[in-house]
Amino acid sequence: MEATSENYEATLRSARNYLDTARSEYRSVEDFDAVPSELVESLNELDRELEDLEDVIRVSEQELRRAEDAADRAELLQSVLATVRDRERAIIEADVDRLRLWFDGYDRLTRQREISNSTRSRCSEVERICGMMEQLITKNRHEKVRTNDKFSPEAVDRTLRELDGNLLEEVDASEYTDACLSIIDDLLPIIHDGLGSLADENAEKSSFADSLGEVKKRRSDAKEKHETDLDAAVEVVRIALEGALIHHYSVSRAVANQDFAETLAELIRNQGLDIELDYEESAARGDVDVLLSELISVIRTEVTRSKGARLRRLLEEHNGSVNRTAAATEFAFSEILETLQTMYDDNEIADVEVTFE
Amino acid sequence: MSSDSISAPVDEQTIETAWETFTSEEEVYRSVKNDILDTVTDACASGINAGNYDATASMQNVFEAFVDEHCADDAPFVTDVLESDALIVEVLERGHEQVAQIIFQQLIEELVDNGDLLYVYNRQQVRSHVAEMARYFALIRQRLSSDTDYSFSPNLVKMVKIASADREQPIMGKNREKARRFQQPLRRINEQIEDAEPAWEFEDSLGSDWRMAVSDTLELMGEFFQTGLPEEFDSLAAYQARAFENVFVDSVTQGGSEARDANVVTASTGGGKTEAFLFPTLAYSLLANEAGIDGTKAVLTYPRRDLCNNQFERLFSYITTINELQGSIDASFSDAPLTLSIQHGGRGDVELPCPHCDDEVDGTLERKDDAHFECQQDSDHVVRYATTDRGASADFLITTGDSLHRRLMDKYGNAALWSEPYPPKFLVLDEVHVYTDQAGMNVANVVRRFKQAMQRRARNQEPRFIASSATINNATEFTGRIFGIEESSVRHLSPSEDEKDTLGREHFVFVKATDPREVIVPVGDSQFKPRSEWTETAPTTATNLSCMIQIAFAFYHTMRKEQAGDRPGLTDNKDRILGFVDSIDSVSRLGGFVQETEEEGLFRLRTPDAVLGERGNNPDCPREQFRGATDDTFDEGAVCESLPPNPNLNACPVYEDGECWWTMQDRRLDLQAMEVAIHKSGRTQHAGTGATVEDDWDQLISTSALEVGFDHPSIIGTFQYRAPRNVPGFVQRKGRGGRDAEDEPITVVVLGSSPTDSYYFHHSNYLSDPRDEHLDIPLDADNRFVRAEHMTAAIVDYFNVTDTTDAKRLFRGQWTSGSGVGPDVPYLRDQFEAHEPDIRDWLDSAFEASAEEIDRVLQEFDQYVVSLFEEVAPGTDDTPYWEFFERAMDNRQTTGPIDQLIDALREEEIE
Repeated sequence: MEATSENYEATLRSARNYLDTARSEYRSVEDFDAVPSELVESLNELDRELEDLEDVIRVSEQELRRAEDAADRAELLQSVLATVRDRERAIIEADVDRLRLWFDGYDRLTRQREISNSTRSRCSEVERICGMMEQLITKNRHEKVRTNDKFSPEAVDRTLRELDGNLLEEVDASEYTDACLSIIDDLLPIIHDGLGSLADENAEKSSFADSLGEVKKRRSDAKEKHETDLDAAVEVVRIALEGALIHHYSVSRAVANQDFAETLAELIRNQGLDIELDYEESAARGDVDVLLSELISVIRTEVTRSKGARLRRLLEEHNGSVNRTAAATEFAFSEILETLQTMYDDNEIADVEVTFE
Repeated sequence: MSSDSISAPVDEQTIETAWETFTSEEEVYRSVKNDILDTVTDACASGINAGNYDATASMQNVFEAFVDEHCADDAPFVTDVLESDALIVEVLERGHEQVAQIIFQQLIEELVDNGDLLYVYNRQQVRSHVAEMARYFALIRQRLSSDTDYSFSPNLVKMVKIASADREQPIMGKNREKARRFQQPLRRINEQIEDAEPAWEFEDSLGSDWRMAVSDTLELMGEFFQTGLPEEFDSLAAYQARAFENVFVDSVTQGGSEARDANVVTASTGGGKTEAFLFPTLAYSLLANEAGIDGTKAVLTYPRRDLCNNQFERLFSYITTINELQGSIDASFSDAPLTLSIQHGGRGDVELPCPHCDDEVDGTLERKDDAHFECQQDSDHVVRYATTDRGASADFLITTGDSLHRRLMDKYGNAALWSEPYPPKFLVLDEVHVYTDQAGMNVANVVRRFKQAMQRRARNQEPRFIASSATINNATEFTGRIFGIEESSVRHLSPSEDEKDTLGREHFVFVKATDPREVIVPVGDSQFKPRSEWTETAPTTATNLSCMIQIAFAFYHTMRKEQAGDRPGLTDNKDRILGFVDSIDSVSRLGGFVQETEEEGLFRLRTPDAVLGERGNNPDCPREQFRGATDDTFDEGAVCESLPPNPNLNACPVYEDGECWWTMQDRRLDLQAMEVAIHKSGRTQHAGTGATVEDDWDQLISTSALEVGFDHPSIIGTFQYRAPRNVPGFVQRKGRGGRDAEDEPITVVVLGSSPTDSYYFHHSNYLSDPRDEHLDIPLDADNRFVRAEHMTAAIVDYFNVTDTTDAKRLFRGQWTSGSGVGPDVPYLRDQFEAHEPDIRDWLDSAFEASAEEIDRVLQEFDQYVVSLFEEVAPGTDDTPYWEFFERAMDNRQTTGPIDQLIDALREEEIE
């Protein structure tokens, strides 16, 4: 078994690493207004706590536990911030995918056709920027898609709308309608998949499902009118396309939130946090705020491990001896046996050995 | 949305952002900068070392090397700079290479502006400043006045070579993974103490309370580390943390299997070796004082007085901080938590910074008497915990090996070292590589005598030995030999390869002088006639020293210098040179000649007058030609202003012949005549007038006296005249330059015509990049002649340490006891006879000598004692002689004439 001070050094080092990573996660999303201020404050609080622990020069078991506790909370903070980052990344990826699908539809339409230089130039510009945004995502630099001073998804969106206006004037209405329908056809499966991944308890699932029906209906109308009334078809297909784009936008966010909530619940479960909230239920509802609030309170106070998880660590520290664990901690002998019984029932314990006098 | 396209020209904002991003990534910036400088330096070195003194590096090759080294996808330059938040979008738009090129070009411009590089002839090729300087050296002539055409002046240099090497330092900084926070070793010690048994002296004095006392001491050391050190000293290097832990635990516990009798600390110059052994000895002393153990705890031995003084000041600073933390800065010598003393013949001149003066008043403490120090500015500012009293039993005693030899035998040593029940715990030999040859034999024997005396005072106390050096390869083996212990009992404390940073480089220029020769130089009208028609001539001699003289001032006026504030963090000028020669006579001659050339202003014969817009300095400068054809577009004063003159466009024979030192353009730094000083017999004096100078010199020439421990922050250049005596010594000498991590020191070695000089010129890599075997330090610790002398001295040690003998009566004689005059020779005889068996054991134990050897020494001592019975002046009363001698000894000042004379003689002998 390693010496206490070596354990202590290793624990502090790992706590410091978690905190450094947490800071780096935070920096990657700090411009998105996506991180609750309490989480930001906890970065500094943990930093101060680690500095206090660095000042300790006589390491007792209690100090070691304090350090382990701080390391656990730093790890939790880093995990939460990584989850926040993942949510933002998922949203950015979805936005860039949507812009790409949208643009590809127009790109297919303009290829091999006579269009004005300004329209051609707009196409090149969007192609170039979409390519850059995709490269940023490939390099895991999602945040720069939003935080650079040269382009943004919103600006590409505006350009695509201007392009749409140009194309409406420059290309045949029938071909335009077909292009819009093909874009909608590309978007719909993604939206469906997204809705499918939302839990039934998530209120947004049914709400989006209802409104998506409208989009589909307009898509069918446009197809029908394409044969009979081209002007009306153009009008309807544009509304349908807008609806599909909006649904892609909203559903991708709902999915990101649902994933975010489930990951937070998984963190609570894996860390064995003793939380009264029914976190599985909250995750199913996609109730991110409640889950975040619980985790923040854990990070900012002290990790309340489940009794089983804590006892497991203590028994490991004392080579499995119940006597020594009881002597060294606040656990009573009987309380340990009681908890062991529960752990045994949960298949956490392979065997129990008894040593007679 | 932006309308930029990939082919858009690079705007200023982009350049600025790219440059800011690059320079803010300090490690990447340093690494790229160093590699570019290395590429240029290597290209120039390759040419110069092949005899092309006009060597350059093509920008294309430098850029390609930069791309190869730093533009791979996973290179830090790409991941941390090009793909940083600030640049990634720009890089995606323009491509890696274009942005990398912007940064590369900016960096080259910066290096040219800073004088590291210069464009040569055009902007497609660059040369390192050192290579340009080497070019001037290669073409240097013996010019003594402007009267003679330079083409008649003899060339002084046969060949030149250059080299450069990386400079490494232990990694420091509390956020660096390979460094250690202060508390870490303290925690580890506290844990080890739990299962350890106390060292004998603590068991004896503290008993069961020792663990608590250790813990309290560590708390205090923790406070000292956190609050008492300069801000930039915020952590320990990993090897310093190991040193603190190991040395302290070894000293306060009973030696277990991990304990070692000795530790040897090795690290680069300026790498914190002193702190590595001082901090644990400070902690030991605090603990010992807590335990009520009085007397000296550590004897710190240095090979030179200057170094003693320097280290006395350093230790004083740490001890002052600790005493201050304990509210005892005004305490008396006996009450202060920690005390220190210095003992050598020149200790009377020691000065210390006054800790009582505030930042505005820069007070200096001077020795008031042997008891304390007093501030020059304010006599109320008194320090009593530092002393020069030789008999004072201070916690730390700083001395030379030579003084220690004397203290072992005299009453001062008796009082300082052996008057308490617990003898010193530590014996430290700093700069231990110096102890080779006779100096090493002597110190090894002094150590054996010291160990013997330590053992006599407290047989159970385990002494701990520490050696330290920057330039030793066989560290454990040598340490074992000099301390007289098994190599397996020595621990080596040194930074591992991954605990070091490469911070920059150092440069070397090796100059091979022409063979000495007589040269006839035409003067007057003869200069304009064919040789056969010369009527007026002057003979001149071109010697190796002539070459050194011209190089000495060329070096100063053409080397790259910096002034405080020129770059962030630069607080000292970097503009001085320290030169080494190996004889006192040469120091004076060389210093005198160089000072004379400066007073005559010979360097001005090579000023770039056209660039400077001056007249009449360089008689050969085609000034009018070069200032008349300037292009107003570039706001140039001269065609050769921004670049040395291109031989294809505007050829300048003066530059091509090395008679224009083009880089000599800074009026403050390059164009002022320097003040030359020499250091000899412990004194720094003006090379011309001989007047004592303090810090007012530009070039200081010395013997080996300043080879170790002379740390002046402004020294950026060092030179060595003739072959060094050994490689470790040379490494120490060049280590005096560039004390700050960011410095790029230059060392010039001027080699003459001797076979040794030729050998070193052709094997210059032994000096610039010495292999391990070159840094092995030989030591014949058992040399029987030297040992016999120390065995004799050890007999005197014996009487000095033995309680049953009145050592004062033995050596000072009856005069002091008032019962007579002269040494009490009968008493000495009685004591010698009575103690002979013990003395025999003493010598056997100290030197492990054979019975025959001991017999021989005892016989000779006996004969000596017998000879003392002879009258000083047969037939006459010798009382007046002894009275005079006694009075002379009693009345002399601490640094009286006898001491001075002896010390001066001794120093001459060492040098």
